[in-house]
Amino acid sequence: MDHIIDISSLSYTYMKGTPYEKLALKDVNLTVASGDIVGIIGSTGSGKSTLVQHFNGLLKADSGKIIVDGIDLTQKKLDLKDLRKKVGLVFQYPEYQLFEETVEDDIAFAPRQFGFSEKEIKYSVSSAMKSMHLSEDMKKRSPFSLSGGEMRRTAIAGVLAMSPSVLVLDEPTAGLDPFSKKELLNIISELNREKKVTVIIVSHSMEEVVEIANKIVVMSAGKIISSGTPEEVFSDEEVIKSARLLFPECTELMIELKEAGLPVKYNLCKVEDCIEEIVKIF
Amino acid sequence: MNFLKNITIGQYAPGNSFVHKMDPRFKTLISGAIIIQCFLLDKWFLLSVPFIFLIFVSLLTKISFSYIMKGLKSVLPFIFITFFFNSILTTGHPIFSYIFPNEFSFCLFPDLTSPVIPVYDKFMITVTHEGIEFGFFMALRLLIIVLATSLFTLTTSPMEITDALEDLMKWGKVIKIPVHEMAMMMSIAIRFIPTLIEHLEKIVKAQLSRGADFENKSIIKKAKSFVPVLIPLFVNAFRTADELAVAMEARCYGVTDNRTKLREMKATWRDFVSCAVIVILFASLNYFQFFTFKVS
Repeated sequence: MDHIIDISSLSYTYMKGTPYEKLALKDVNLTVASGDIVGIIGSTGSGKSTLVQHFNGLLKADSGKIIVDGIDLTQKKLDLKDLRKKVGLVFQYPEYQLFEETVEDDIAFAPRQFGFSEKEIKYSVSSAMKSMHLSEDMKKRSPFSLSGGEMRRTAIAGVLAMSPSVLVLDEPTAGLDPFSKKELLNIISELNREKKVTVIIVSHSMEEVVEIANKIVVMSAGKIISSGTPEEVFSDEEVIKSARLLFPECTELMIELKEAGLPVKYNLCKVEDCIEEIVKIF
Repeated sequence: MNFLKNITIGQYAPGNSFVHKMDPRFKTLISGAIIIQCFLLDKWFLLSVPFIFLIFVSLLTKISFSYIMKGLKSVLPFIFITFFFNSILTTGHPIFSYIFPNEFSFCLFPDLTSPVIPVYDKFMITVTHEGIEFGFFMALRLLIIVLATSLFTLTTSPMEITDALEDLMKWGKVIKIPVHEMAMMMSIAIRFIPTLIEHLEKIVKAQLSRGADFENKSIIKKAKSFVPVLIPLFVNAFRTADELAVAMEARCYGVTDNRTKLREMKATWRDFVSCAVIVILFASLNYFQFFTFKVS
């Protein structure tokens, strides 16, 4: 499988040349295969949000190389617009970026900026709303009259409408109720399955990431300290603890069962897998 | 977002130097005194004394010189323009003059005792000896004002500044000026500048990711392109203000009259030493200004 994102020895410092200088990323290496769902996890300040802002050229690396979908981001003459059309970045609390009078207009903002024709705009708005499970009759409503979960989905639809090949979501479920959380995660994996969008999810909660991700990257203090499939990552207890993260609850349970002397695999992270493993020993 | 990174003027640079540790009330008064003094002096060589003094102070702050200069950079154009216009628009002994279309005259050291003949023609530019002197004087005065205020804000946190102002304006309560409330409003406003900048930065980035283009050539298009940023920013600001008001009321803000301070300001030896230095310096400057070099 080809790599849609290829990062090697990337470093970045905030506020370079001021007394507030702060090293945010240090020697980061990462590859993302096309069609993957990658979860980037790390505690607050581990550099995960800084890292994803490099994917569409919002931040420029101090050193290192980034190649996204064949575009070298370190080159001098970079077509940022082209890049940003390919990589849709959804920020934390994206509902704060809504500004138009109607939901329809707000979602149409990105396609309009990227020069879609009116027909294409109409189509992409409808299909983005459909993928985000927003009903047609919401089109004419003001985005400020929606509920929190609906606003969040409208905002994500606003990014989705430019049909990016990579969708980056920074803490997409922060502040949502459990039901909306579950719904959003389902929508995201559906999107990945049906439209073949590569998804990168940033989060500090293991639980929700492992639900849908097939690859996990653990960050701590601006460095990637572990990466691989969820099972691989969770088999190293020390790494998870040193990153100041918690195991998903079911993994925690499996670890305790193992410590109690039961013959179980402990590096499982999906509830279903855990149930299966527990059933096996009886 | 580089346009937000380069605002140094009015920015606090934390430190532990002599100047940082001074009482903010004294710093406010001293910087005020320097600026007033600056307007009392009318000889450039007298002005150079407070300038040298400020250079000395900036060494004392231990803030890197390039960082201080960054803040001054934004006012340098004004200083140059001031110098330029003063040097060509002051009557005096011409050093250089140009008469349209191609007549030049040049005299580096004009005879200053000769009488001044004001010659102004439509197509004539004259740089005079007096003009250069006056332009230099004005530039120096501007530089001192900017340097004094930026040294003050670099070494004093916004909260200290409001505390100092509140304390210095205490007498206002007697004539029913709501000093405390005004200081509170000011400190809230100052406190929310970085928050708003952070919001702004985030919204700008979010809209950039959606293809927004802020580098448009035409002014109307440029103004329009900021709508997607300004609306969320205002919505955000009102929401934050609302939340803050509720949070303050939940903690019974405004119920008692005389609030005590978390950080009490105390004058120390540093403040008395600096005051003494300033008083001696300014007394002698004023002596020279008004008794020795008094013209007419």
